[in-house]
Amino acid sequence: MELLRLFLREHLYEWIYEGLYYAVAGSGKITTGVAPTITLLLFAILYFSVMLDVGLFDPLAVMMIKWAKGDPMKITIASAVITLAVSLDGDGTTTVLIVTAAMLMLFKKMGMKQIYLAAIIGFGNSVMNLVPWSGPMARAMPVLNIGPKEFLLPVLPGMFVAALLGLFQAYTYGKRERKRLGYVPGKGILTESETTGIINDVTLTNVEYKRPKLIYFNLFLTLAIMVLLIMDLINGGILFLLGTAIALIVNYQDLSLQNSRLLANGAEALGPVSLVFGAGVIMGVLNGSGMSSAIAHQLVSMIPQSLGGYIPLILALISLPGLFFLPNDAFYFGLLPVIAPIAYSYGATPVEVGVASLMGQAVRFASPLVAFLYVLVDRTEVSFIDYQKEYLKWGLLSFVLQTLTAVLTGAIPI
Amino acid sequence: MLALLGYLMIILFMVLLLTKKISPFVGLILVPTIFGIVAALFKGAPVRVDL
Repeated sequence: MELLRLFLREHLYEWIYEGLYYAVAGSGKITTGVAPTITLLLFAILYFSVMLDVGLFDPLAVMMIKWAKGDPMKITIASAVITLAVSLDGDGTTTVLIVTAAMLMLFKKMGMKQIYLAAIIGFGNSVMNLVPWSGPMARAMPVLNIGPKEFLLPVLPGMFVAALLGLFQAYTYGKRERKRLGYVPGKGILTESETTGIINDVTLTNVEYKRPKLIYFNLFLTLAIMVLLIMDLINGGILFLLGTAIALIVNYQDLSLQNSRLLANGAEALGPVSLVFGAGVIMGVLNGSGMSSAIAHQLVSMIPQSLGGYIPLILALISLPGLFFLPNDAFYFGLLPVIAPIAYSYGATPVEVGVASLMGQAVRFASPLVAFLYVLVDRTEVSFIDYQKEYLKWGLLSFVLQTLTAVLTGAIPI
Repeated sequence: MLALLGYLMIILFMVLLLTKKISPFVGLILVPTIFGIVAALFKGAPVRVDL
């Protein structure tokens, strides 16, 4: 038994260790495990939770509500814009809660179809889901061993196109609702006091955590972090770690508030963080034991030479059913580590593989495996099947447009 | 053999997730642990062990 323990330590223990922390190759090259990704994930979630608490995004919501003035078109567009802004934190659940808090009452008061709100929020999330600290990219980064900056830049054109499609979706809904509800230009469907009530809902909830006087500081801090993140001057995890500390001490001088806000928001971060640690285990075993290279060699021998150069494109197509029928974890930690070395062997770069693996995300937001979608359909009071049908019309189009953009910009080579 | 083990590990993990037999967190840790033990046994010990 003593020997068995020793022997498992030499193998299994080491593999898991390498998956979580770092591995030193024979050449002396150090490959990191999931630890840096986890730092980024944890503190990005904490940082944006604090920013939502202090009300950084409130003025935007209020502005949108005032601007809408009871025009269905403006309300659908505002919903799309708020969703895009709020889902910047890469977390679906928070987005659903905030956008429905701001917009659902408007939809109800005006007799607009709530399925449209559900589809708008789902779609907006599918776009901002592509930020580096969100699920898919955070998972793909450790698998492909690439950083947020080199990954985000080739994804941005596709995100931009998808965001435009989201606005067009909102425009289409707005047009339909204007017609259905008999909107006459210049005449709103809401009274002044109803508008005020909705604004109060946004600004007067959890008011003890709001810091309206510090909004410019918070805006500056957030923009500075985003710029530094894109410039890749400082490691993303350290950036958000510093950002969270600065945000907490500036916004909450009260020591007990500093502590309690950190803990209250921590619950939201715990799930994804634990999952990525788990991913470190499966990847460590897959790589350390030699399973992944064995699989890769076996698969490479099966792919016809003529198709090898198209592997990123093939991966993009595979990701469509892959991300619908598989959880993110199974796709990024199961399939991606196997297909990536094959793509490399045909000359693709890790970034190209990463971009291709993100394409199917557009369709994933109709998958029954995405937990926050149940929060979405519950809040907007629509059935899951109805949501799926409505979402897929746009999600599939988004997939096609994003893949096309990636091919045209050369992010996916053909 | 190692390739087969790898396939089985991934397929089992996916099947357990899809059939909701296990949470992603537990699956991500326990499935590779079990397959890792098998792989470690398969690869053989640095010192021969009679079990």
